Amino acid sequence: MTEVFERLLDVATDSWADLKTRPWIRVSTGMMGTAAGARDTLQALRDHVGLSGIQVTISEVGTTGLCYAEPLVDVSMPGGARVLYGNLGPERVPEILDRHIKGGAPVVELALASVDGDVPGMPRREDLPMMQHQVRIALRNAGEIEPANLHHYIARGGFAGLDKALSEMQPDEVVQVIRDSGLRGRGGAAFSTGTKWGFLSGNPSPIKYILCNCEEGDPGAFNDKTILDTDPLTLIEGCIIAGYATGSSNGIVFIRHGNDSPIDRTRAAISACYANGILGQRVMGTDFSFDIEVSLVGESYVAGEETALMEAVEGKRSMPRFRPPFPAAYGVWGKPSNINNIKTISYVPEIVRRGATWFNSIGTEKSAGTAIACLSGDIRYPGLVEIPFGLTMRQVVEDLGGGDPDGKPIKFLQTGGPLGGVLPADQLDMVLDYDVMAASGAMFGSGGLIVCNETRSVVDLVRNLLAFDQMESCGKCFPCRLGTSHLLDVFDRICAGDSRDGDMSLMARIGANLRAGSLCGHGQLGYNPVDSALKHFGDEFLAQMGGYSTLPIAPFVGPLTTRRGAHTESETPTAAVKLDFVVNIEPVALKSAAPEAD
Amino acid sequence: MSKPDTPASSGIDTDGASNSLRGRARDAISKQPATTVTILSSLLAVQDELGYLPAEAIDEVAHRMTASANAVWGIASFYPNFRFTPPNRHKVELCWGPTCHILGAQHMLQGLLPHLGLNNEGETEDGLISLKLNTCLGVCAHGPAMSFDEELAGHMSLDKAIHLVECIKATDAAITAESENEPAPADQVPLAGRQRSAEAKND
Ligand SMILES: Cc1cc2nc3c(=O)[nH]c(=O)nc-3n(C[C@H](O)[C@H](O)[C@H](O)COP(=O)(O)O)c2cc1C
Ligand code: SF4
Ligand code: FES
Ligand code: FES
Repeated sequence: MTEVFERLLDVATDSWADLKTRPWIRVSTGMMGTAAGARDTLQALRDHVGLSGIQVTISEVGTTGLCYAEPLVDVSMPGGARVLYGNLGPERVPEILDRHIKGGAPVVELALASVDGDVPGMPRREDLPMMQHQVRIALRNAGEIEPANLHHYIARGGFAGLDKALSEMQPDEVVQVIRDSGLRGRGGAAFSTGTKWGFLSGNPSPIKYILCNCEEGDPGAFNDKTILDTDPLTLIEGCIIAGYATGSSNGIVFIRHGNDSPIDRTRAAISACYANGILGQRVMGTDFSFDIEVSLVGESYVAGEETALMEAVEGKRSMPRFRPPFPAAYGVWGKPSNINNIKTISYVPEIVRRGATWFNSIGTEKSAGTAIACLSGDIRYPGLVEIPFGLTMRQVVEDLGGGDPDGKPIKFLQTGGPLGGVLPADQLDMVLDYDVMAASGAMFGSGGLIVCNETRSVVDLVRNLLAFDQMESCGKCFPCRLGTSHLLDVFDRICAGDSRDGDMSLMARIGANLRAGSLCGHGQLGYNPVDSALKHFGDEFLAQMGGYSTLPIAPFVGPLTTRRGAHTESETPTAAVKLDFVVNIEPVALKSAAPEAD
Repeated sequence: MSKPDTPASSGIDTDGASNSLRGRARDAISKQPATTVTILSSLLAVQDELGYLPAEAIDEVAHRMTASANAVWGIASFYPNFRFTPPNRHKVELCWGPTCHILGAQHMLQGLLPHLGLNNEGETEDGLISLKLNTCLGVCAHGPAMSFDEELAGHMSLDKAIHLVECIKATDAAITAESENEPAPADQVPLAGRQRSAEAKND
């Protein structure tokens, strides 16, 4: 153990123990809580506590993932029960303070669950439907600690992994542990993380970058932002370990500008590490030095693509680069770089601390560990779950998510974001596993699961995804720039009840051109939603096109903004290109017609 | 109601004065927390400060980054969060992402647009509200989602949206009435969530 860590651990343990000597109230603020009104609840708590003069600690934490129960207030009493109060509006705050904090008796009728012990009249947290099957690794601290509080983090096992790596392991051994653990990239491509690190560690350059991709432009996914919002220190520890393992000098945490709370919390966590000798020169007193900074990007989905991300870090338009050269040889500022998704990185500290075998024993043979899924849409318990691979989609949606809130039959799931597809209800027994899912054409992607009941039109939802794909096309290559516009045009016509003969084959041709001719995954995979919707719901398309659909489609107002240097309709170059004709280009037969897995 | 004064007409536009647009852009660029300063990071910092990117800001970023104004403009025009005209005083965002879509975002949007006198995202004539569509506000679990002056609001409905818009208007009117007694520079009127949260952090 390094001396620095030994000292930090002592202080952290004391401060954690000290917390337990007073009532402790944790309120889930951050993006999820705020959206549910937690700011008002927090304000009420502060006001009432201030007036009554009771001695309590109030902490702002991130979401636990039980989003359906926000605003969530977590009360623990010294030596007593710890109780979660769900859907707690400001008007209920005085009651909790009077009865639970002052009176010492939990308010059973307002409680959601008890934690670490039984309280008569309420379920335990692990028995809540949504907590079934969950194994929390990357989300281990979600809702438990103050997001940027080093002491809290260390008291719950944080930085033990980094300390172990620095004091007991050679860099190569760390890479080997990650390789043996079977950890695969959670950003979409599911590539072996250890293997990727190996590419970088072989490069002798003195300046190398670890890029942590928290862009998360996928609509419907919110797990990356949640990690930043609840526990940024886990990704910082992961980045430092990655830096040590690959001999890198710098880390960059890449976040979209706009939501303040994840950015502020991440910056605060980085400052805390600098102030305590965990970042900067001589990390934890060893010979290894490492710097991390936050890099912000404007609104751009394609900025999440690894080479576009590097352009954005350099301050340019986030347009993908040609590859090769690959990032491990020529990355950001021309230096060797490694890019991982934030979820991937967040597993690293626990893998190093607890060993490769531990991680590998969770999940399935080829998909080790857990998946973090974002449940939203027609679902009783929307929120965030961390479940081992190997569960079925049905377990996730019906057991944990509780199915449709009104008990309507589920029709399909939208998975994998705008480049993913739809999974019809009759395939819900599919096992969560990268390879099983890929083989059947479904994609887990970044973990967004949008549940749709029988009243939803697939055609309508796919048009929404296409509008996104069109607007987000960076415009660098024309198959994608024009293909997405053309496809959306066809869809707009179909939705408006104005389809034409040959639309089906036209869509297929555009799709083939997109796939074969696009530079990056955005264009290559942009046809996926249409493809899978046609495959599973072809009849619904025919009904819509034939004018006898029972699911009417409302008019759609999309954003005016595009990515082509124009901000009003009249200025938009492509708006002028009314693609109102049939392009008769045969699909280009390229050798590399297989889309990149990215 | 007439358009409110924009910052452009409120400050003395001499180059060095720190309350001129160019001066404020310069300060914003210098005060960035990031150690790596780029054209993009500078543009983001200036937009946070001014609410938009006037030509002066493009010039200032170009000057500071030793780039051409064209190069800076090329980057600024790529990202739809940048704007080049002053926004109205309050920013209302509505998510049109897939989760919010199925949960009724279009119904809300198409009810809200006539209420605001708009056809799509844009500025209301009274100078009060800028409506923006967002691809995903990141709180899908609470969809349909909106944000009012950067403060997220979930489980929205058309009625709630109209109510919150009216609240913004009422608060704004109250503040304007107050400041008419004691005139404050127009650019200090907005009570953007960003400022509010900064205040919250300080106490
Ligand atoms: C259009 C496009 C958008 C992407 N967006 C993201 C993103 O938001 N976050 C992310 O982690 N990866 C994203 N990726 C995947 C990255 O290119 C890259 O594969 C990933 O960050 C690698 O990390 P991993 O190995 O840990 O998965 C995107 C890819 C494409 C083609
Ligand atoms: S495929 Fe689309 S997003 Fe990707 S580089 Fe080409 S135009 Fe840009
Ligand atoms: S696409 Fe660039 S010149 Fe035609
Ligand atoms: S889809 Fe609306 S918040 Fe994500």
